[in-house]
Amino acid sequence: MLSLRLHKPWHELAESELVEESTATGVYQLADEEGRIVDIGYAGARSRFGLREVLEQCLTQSSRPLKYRVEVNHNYLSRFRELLLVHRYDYGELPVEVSRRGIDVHGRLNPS
Amino acid sequence: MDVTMSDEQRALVDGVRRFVREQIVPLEDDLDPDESRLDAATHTKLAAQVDQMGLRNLDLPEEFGGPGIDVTTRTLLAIEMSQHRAGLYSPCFDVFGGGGLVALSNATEDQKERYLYPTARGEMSGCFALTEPSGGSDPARSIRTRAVRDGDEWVIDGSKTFISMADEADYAIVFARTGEADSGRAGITCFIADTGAPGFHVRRIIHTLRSGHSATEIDFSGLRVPDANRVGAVGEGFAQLNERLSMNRIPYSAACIGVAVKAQQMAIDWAKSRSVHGRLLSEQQGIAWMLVDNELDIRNATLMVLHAADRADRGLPFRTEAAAAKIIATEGASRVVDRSIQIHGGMGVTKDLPLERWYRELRIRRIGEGPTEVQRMIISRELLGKPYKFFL
Repeated sequence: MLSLRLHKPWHELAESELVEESTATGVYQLADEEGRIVDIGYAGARSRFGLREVLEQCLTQSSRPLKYRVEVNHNYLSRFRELLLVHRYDYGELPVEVSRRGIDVHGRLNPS
Repeated sequence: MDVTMSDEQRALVDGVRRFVREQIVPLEDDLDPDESRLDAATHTKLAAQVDQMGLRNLDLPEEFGGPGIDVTTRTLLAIEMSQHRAGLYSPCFDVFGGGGLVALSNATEDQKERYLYPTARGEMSGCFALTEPSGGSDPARSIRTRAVRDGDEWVIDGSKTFISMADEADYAIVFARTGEADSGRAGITCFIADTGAPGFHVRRIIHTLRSGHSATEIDFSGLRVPDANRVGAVGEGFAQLNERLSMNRIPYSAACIGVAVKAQQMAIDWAKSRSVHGRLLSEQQGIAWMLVDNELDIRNATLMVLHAADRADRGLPFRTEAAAAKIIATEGASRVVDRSIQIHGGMGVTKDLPLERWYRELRIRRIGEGPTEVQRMIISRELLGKPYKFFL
């Protein structure tokens, strides 16, 4: 069974790391220096260079040091939704950047 | 059986076809290729248009506020409604509404007031909780979720799997065993459970070939459901279920045909415009015959599905015909999309075209609502259970 929560290694959100990043579709998380997850997103089939391109945009828009981790996944839409619901179960709210983008997600998960 | 459309059917089919082409297909240019839902504002706007067409809640009987169309017309509309990228599992992004409402036809008036009518108005949503980890093809024997009477309530314990949209639904239609473990089909009862109640847990999303639409795994631990939420008599859940499953196989099969028709249109357009070795693909016999095979599959499936729908409309037994239609439509449409991908070459497997999504999603169609093998068992019981006679 797939893990509900992401357990991939964290990397610095920096050009030197992103150069090696996958160009496939998938999901990602961003965390601040304290390790708080501040954003969850995905690279879909409409992105030209997948996760690498989307994370490069995150780097451009970010004004503070961040870490990121990814999961290459063709089911990026349902996985994105799952990560949001699990985050809300764990922390009682969506990540701050997700809320700032106006994304809301209807529904609930109660993982044991 | 008459396979020509009446003037009224033609007008409805033309209206829905225009709606799909003018309102639905253009939206998909800006959506993710795997998207299955629209933003709320667009959904509300389109649902209002469907209301004006008089076609909201297609599967709801007229006495409960549905449009009151017969099964044959419903089938013809289902063929049209699925002719877009998301159309197989989210025909017209569900703006026609009413999916699953037929399961509440046997509800009491009080239950209809609390669940069916709010759902029909778009104020609530439900999910259908049947399949269990112990199996989905033989619910009479495989249902292990138990409901035990406790005064005016039932206490439900167990688990379900592959339940679409349970994470978003307000209520679930739950089938649980109320008889002994070996009670078979006589021991199943149907309940309506509120998904927000203590003891109702959506444990995870199950990721499948349908990447934009989630199935879930749920469990019940001491879930209390009032007896007022029992649908039908104790032990009669399986009979209700059988009726619902057989009827649903008809529009379910019709949606596969719609996708096949669209794939065939794309394959023909491509074959008439693409040249290989100095000749159009359409001028090469190997390709032309693939298009002919597509057409045979489409017409075969259409006639089978309309035959089942016609019997349902005339009040004749249609379980065997619906089973046959389900096999022919799901397998035939899978072949049509597969050939259409082959004709398109490399383009066929890209997300630039909808073919790869239909290819993935049609694979599920051969399992969902009873796999091909179960449909064959239904037909074989009819064939072998009484003296053989020609079906017409």
